[in-house]
Order: sequence, then structure tokens, then C-alpha cells
Amino acid sequence: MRSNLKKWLAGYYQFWLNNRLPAQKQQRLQQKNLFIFPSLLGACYLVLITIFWLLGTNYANNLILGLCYLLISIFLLSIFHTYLNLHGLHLAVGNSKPVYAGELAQIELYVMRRLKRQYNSISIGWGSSLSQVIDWQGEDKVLVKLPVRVLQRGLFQPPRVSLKSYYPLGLMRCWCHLAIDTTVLVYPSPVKFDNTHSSSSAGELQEGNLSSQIISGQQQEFQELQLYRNGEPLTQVAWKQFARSGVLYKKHFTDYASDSSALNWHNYPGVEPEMRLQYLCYEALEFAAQQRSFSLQLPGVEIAAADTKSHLNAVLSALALFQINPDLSSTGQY
Amino acid sequence: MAAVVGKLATISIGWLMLGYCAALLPLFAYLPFWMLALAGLTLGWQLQIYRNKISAPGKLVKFLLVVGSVALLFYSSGNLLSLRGFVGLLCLAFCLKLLELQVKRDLYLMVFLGCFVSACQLLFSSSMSAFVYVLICILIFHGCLYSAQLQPQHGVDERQAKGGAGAKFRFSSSHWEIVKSVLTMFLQGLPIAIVLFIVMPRVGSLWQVPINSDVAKSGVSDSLSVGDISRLNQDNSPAMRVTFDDNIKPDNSKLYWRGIVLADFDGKTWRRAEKISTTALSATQRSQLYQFDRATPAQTYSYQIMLEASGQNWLYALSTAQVDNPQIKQWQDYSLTRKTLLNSRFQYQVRSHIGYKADPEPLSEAQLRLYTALPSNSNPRTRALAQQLASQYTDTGRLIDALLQMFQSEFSYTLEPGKLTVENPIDDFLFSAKRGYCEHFASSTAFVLRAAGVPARIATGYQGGQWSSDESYLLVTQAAAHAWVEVWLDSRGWVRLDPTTAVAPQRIAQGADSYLAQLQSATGLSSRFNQWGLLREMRLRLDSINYQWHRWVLGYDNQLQFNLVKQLLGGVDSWRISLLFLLAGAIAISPFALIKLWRSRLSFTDNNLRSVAKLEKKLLKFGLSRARGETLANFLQRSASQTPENRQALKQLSAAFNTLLYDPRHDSDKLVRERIQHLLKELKY
Repeated sequence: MRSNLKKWLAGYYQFWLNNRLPAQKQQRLQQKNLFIFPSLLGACYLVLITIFWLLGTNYANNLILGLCYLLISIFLLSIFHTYLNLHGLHLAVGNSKPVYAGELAQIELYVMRRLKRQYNSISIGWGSSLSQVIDWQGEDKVLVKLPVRVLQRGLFQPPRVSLKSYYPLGLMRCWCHLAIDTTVLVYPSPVKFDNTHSSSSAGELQEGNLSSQIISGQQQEFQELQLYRNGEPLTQVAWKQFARSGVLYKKHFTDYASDSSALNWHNYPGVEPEMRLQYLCYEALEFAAQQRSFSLQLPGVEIAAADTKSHLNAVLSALALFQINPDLSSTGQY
Repeated sequence: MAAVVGKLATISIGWLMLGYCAALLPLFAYLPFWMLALAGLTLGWQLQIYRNKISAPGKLVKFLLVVGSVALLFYSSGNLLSLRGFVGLLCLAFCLKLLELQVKRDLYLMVFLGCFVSACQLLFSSSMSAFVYVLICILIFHGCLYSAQLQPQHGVDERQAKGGAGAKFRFSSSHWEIVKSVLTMFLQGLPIAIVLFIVMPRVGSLWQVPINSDVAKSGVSDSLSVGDISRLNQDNSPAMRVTFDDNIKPDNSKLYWRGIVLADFDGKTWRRAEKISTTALSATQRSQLYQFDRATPAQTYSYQIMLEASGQNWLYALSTAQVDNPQIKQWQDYSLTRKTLLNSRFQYQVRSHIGYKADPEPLSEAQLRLYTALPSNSNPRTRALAQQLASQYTDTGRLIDALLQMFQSEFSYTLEPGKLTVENPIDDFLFSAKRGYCEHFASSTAFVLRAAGVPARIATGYQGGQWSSDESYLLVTQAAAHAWVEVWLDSRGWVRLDPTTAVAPQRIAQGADSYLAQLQSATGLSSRFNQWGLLREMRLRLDSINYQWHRWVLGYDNQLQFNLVKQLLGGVDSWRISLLFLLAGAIAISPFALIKLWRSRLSFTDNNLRSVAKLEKKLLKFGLSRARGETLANFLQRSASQTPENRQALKQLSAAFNTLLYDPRHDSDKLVRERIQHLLKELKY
């Protein structure tokens, strides 16, 4: 019951926050998105003020009462000072480089201040775990890189950024939770394909001594079964499968010696889709490292062979976004 | 909680130690001497810990330190529940907590303790300088809070750079930054604090608190012995300050501040008569006073007295006083006391009736006996003199005149009368010494009168006073202490009789201060009193500031608040008070609002708007006025159609204004404005 209520409250809070502070490319810290409340130290300060008041009242000591009122006014003033320390700052999104799943994504944010104003001791980070203090070093525009660990490939939308400040006296906590309108492309994490991990059907195929054949002096490796079309050499027909299913399949072999290699979704039969993407990613990186041209074939996606840098990026992003609904964002762990 | 937990920066520790020294320093005057050593020890210890020379004390050491010092405090102050005990404990906690300074939370606790310790100073001293000092202490502690909020990497860098070796408190630019920021906050907070001080209602003590009961007894004592003091010391410390209503300034000779009435004489010492001074003013006396107050207000002074802390409970007032204060009791001899001892300054309002006849109806048998009682075996020569005078003059008035005549011709006033014999001091004074001050004259006069069968008693208090430099109040110093006689005359009641006037009329006319100063410089007692005029002037000026401080800041109570609000608002209704709160809020906010306005002012469009206004003013002369909501272009077009001779100029003006107001490039603004100026001049009637 209680946890339900808690859940509902948390959900409602997120809903309220999303409504009030929607994601934006550029944000200006102002009254609408800044929150302020006395910190624990501020609460202790109020206790001190109460003690002063009791002391002054009980001893009918006007000077101590005067001090008490001075402390009250400083408490009130610190609301303004703390608020002004964040007010007017601009937050803009920088370019974020794609990362591989499981790595730390560096979200780049530009924090800009107006001229002639001092902003001190502002910490910036994700949620409650605040990591960095903005170090202006005399500049008016500071690049802040916030690391966040991303576990899933796809388009990663970072969580809300929190800016927090206790300046000047620590009596007040002024903060904001800003949703930043940016996404990070997350490639699948590259994993080397290991035969021992392959599924039974692929193993069966290899058992039939189809894994390697020598055709016209070139080493070829069995890759997958394709439907047989008329006119193709009968030597490539998978008779065993024909006997089992009555459908003519052709054994497709990959030519390792050729310059142009094809990365294909169907190269890893029986493997889970996410794993296939990870294997493909590894292969693509391998090819790129060897500066060989390669092509990519995914269901519904086809990228012609090339060996340029942009080609690699295109391939990797195709792997990252394969069957990803762009509206759904993945979540990261931070 | 990121701000609460964390390592400490050098800068914070430096500020804390500065505040630590500043807060404790003035308190050592009120604390046992060993606390100074303890405070120094912990400070040095913490410094060494910080410099990694020694490690922080272990649990056992800390425990022993706490137990030991509390026991020592109990031993040296006796009572931990007294004010000193309480402050001592607080300071002890402050000193010992310093050893535990490790994380930010400790720092914050030290800062709060420090603020509290600094404020405790005000329980002992309430002078303006003490207040300013406490303000500085609190400012330092806020600086410490501020330094803890500064960017943490600074602190880390510094600490790493210095390593463990040099933990010096260098005065760098960041310190200035802290001073500036905290001072700004204090200055901004001051108006709000002042408004709160004026407006916030005062609540009386919520519970009984241990008060500072160690106030040294000062002022007039409650007994008078003749001849046991050979030399009267001049004490120029203030005894009280008086502000008369309606700017009345009575003569010095009328300023007899009556305090204690002494009616009991044992041959050596005059004391208060238990019976009289513990019987409250009777209903008859009270109603007579009230009637007199209603009938003859011309002979009434109304004034306010601020009495210094005396450690006693007498109050002073001119002749016959009438008070309306539940804290004050009035006795049968019209003397006043407060219910509790005066451990701090006390302010009260009095009405004094100058021409009032106190107890004119014949004294009762018991009273007569009391006021003529004398020990049977003392001062035989004086008794003989009194008998002789009594037989010589049947009229009491003439008897007194003869006595005063004797004083005037044979006696002299001095501050160094020397000692009198113990057995018969009055005989010694009247027949051999013949030199003395007020106490001698008053005491011997009362003795002679009583011996002659005339009811007499001694009144002590102060006489005279010095007007402040702006003549707004009267300062009465301890040097003005005086004693005189009150004699009961048939149908006139108790009448004041001051024998000192006969001997030293200037003492009364000029006041004690200047007369005694003359006396002293004449006898060469102290040569530094030669520059007395200047000194006196300076002292009076200083006292004037002090008095206003006491009166308006320390003495600001419900009554004053009520009066002030009444004066400011013309009444004390709930709507007026709410209005005052609104006003106070407005005053407090106004600096911010002004800054906001100043910042948001339109700097560049200002000039443009001014040009538009100029154009409108010019066209108004043609009988053309811009309608509400009409654009400038429309208006100029309409004007052009109505004044054909200016059509060309108005068209050009329209274009120029368009450029001025809507061209995003502002580099040619000045030229355009000049062109508009020129075109405006071309407009023809």
C-alpha cells in the first residue's frame, strides 16, 4: 500500500516535472525552473535564531534580540543570494559523440553566464549524485562533460541534469532539474563471434562437413542457407536439408580472399538478434581496422560496400538503430 | 547532504580560528583564568593536528578532558546553574569541540557555537562598543560559513600545495572576496533588521533565567556613619540620567534626588527605620497626592529616569514622587524601591510634586518618638548645645536659622575631613574638627534637632547634575551623592533642610562636579584637573551618545514601541499596525526593487523614445495629436495629409523614425537622430 503510494507519487512527480519543464535544446535558469529551499544547515540556522530569540527575550536583552533580527534578515537575504547565483545562467547542448553500449557517454553541455556577474560553487550532475563543480576560470562559457554509463544500443536520451548551489552561506539549496533535448547514438558493444557459442542448427550444418570447401582453389567458408534458384550450380545444393524439408537450399559460402566482404544479418543463424548486432559491430570494426571495404545487409537495411570513415559510421549507426522505434528512448545507468 | 559532509579547506579553518579567538577574548574577563589556558591549549593542539605534527586526541583523552574541565569549572564557579556557570559550560564546549574539527559538519557546529558564545558577551556588557565587537565576531563566523561554500577544488589544491608543512593564514584575494561578500550581506540585512527591531513585539521573559547577580553594589549606601571615611573619593561614573518632559530645566538647587530615608540612629550610624520603610504608603497619603496632582499641575515635574545597575533596589526621585508602575513600591516616607534588585539598567517614569506638603497633620505618638529618638549616652556636648538652643528659641524656624548661622560662620567644607573619634563623633565634629562634607553636616544637624525635640530624619541621594551638550537630558554622576535633613514642621509637614548650603552654597548652586573640581584643583589634589573643562566636555559628549544608545536601543521596550508607533501612525489600531508591517516590508524590499529598476532601465531606447516625444510635442503645436493605438507611421501620414506644406518633411521624418526604431543595426543611430533633429526644425507653421 505504502510502496504503491510512493510509486504513484514518484510517477506523478515525473509527470509534473515533465509538464512543467519539458526538454529543450537551450535552457535559461529562471524563476520557472529554479527551486529553492533551506538546506539542513539552514534549518540549524533557524534553530540558532530561535535560541538567540529565547536568550534575548528571557534576559530582556535588546542587543541579543537585535542580533537575532540581523540573523533573520541574513537568512532571508540568503534566499535571494542563492537564487541569484543560478538565475540567468544559460545551458546549451553540445555535440555528443556516439558510444558503444556499456561505455561511458560524455554528454557535453555548455554553461554560459552573463557578463559582469559572478557565479560561484555551482555543482552539476545527474540527479542526486552530483559530480562536478563548474570552474569558470574567467570564461563566460564553460564546456561541461557529464559522463553517463549507457547499457543499451540505440538512441540514448540522458536523464535530467541537476544544477545545485548552496552559495553563499550554505543556508539555502537552490537547484533545478533540467531535461536536455539531446540524444546520444549508442552502438552495440562489439563482441567477437565465437563458434562454441553458436546454436545447434549452425553446428549441425558444420557437422555435415559443409563448413569449408575448396572451390576453384579458393578457401571458402560456409555462411548460411539460401533458397536455390534455377541455374545455380548443383554442387552448392544442400541435399541434406532437401531430404529433410523437400525445399532446395543452396549453401552460401563466403569468400574470405575477396576484397569485398559482406556483413550479413543471416551470417549468425539461430543467434539472438542483439547478439548478432554485437557480432556485426565487431566485424565491421575489424574490417575498418584492416581498411577493407565491406557491405552490410540487415533485414530492411542494405549498405553498399565501401571503406571510408563515413561508411563505417553509417554501418555502425545502422546497427545501433536497427529496429529501434525512434520515439522510444533507452535509459541508461548512472 | 553533499554540503554537510566534506573535507575542510585551509581557508575555512583560518577563519574559524580567527573567530574563535575573537569570540572568546572578551569573555575571559568573566571566566575563571584557567579557561584562557585551556582555550590556548586547544587552539595550539588543533593547529598542530592540522599541520600533521600530532594526531587527534583519542577517545579516552577527550573523555578525560571533558570530565576534568567540567569538574574544574564546577570547582571554580561553584554553581553551574548560574549565568557564569552557563556561559562557562558553553565556552568549554566551544574550546573542546575545536579538537574534533574534521569534517564540514564540525565546522558548522563550531560556527553556531561561536555565534552563541559571541552573543553571550552581551549578557555582561551592553555598551555600543561591545555590540560592534560582537557584530564583527558574527561577521567572521559568517565569513567562515562563506569560505566553506567556496569551490572545493580551491581548498584541495591549497592543501595539496602546502602539504602538511605550512598551514599559514595568508591574506590572499579570496579573503577579501569573503570580507566583501559577507559585509555586503550584513549591510543589506541591516535595514530589514532595524525594521524588525522596531516593529517586532516584545514578549516578556518566558521563564526564570539565572541572571548576572554579580553586579557590584554602587551608589548611595543604605546607612550613614559619621567620620569613618577620612576622604571622599570622586567617582565620575554615571549614576542616572534624567529626561524631563516638555523640555523643562529646573534649577540646580531644586534637583534633590531623594533616595533613602534614614530615621534610626544608634549614636554612630544612621539606618533605615524598619517600621517606616516597610510600611506602604497609606491610602490617605495616596489620595492626597492624587488630589494635589489634579489641583496644581504647575508645581509638578514629569520626567524619566534611567538608573544604572546598582545591585540595590532604591529608586530616586525629586521631592515627593508619584509613580504609576507595578514594579515600584512606595513607602510611608515616600521613598521608592523596586521589587527586585537592579542588576541591569532600569528606566521609569515619575511625576514629582515640588510644593507638596508631606504629612502636614500632627505626627502620631509613635512617629514622634521614632523621629526624636536618640541613644541616651552619646555626644553630651551636642545635647547640651541643643538644650541651650531649644530654650533660647521656642520657634523651630529660628532654631534652625541659628544652627545654620553657626555653620556658616565657623565651619568649612572639605573632602578630606580626617577621622573623628569613635565614641562621640558629633561632639568631635561640632566642637573641634569643624570641617567636613554633607554627611557630617546633615548628621549633626539631625542630631541637634532631635536633641531639641524636633522630629528630623536624614535623606540620602544625589544632588544636582550636568546637562548634556545638547541639553536634552541631565547626567547625575556618583560624585553628586549627597545627604541632607528632613525636618517636620507644624502644619508644613516634612521640609527639606540642607545644612551644606549654609557652608558651601556653591556646592548646591553649581552642582557637585564643577564645585568639587574647583575644590580639588585649588588644593592641588590633582593637577590634571586643570584641563578639566575640555575633559568634561568630551565626557559629556561621549555620555550623550551612550545615553541615546541606552535610551533608544537598550531601553526600547513595549512602552517605547507603543509610543513610537503611536507617534508614527497617530494611533494603535490593528489596521495601522498592519499598514506599518506593509510599510516595513516595502522599506526592506525597496533597495532590491531600486536595483532591479536601475538594471532594467532602457538605455538605448530611451533616447529614441525621447525623440518620439519631441516629435509629438512639436506636432501638437499644429493641433495634431497622436491617437491612442495609432502607430507612428500612421500618425505621420495623417499629419502630412492635414498640413500639406510640411508633407515632404514629414515623409522624410517617417522614414528616419522607421530606421531609428526598427533597423536592427544601431551603428548609425546618432546620425539618424541628428537628421530627425534637423527635420523637426524644418517643420513650418
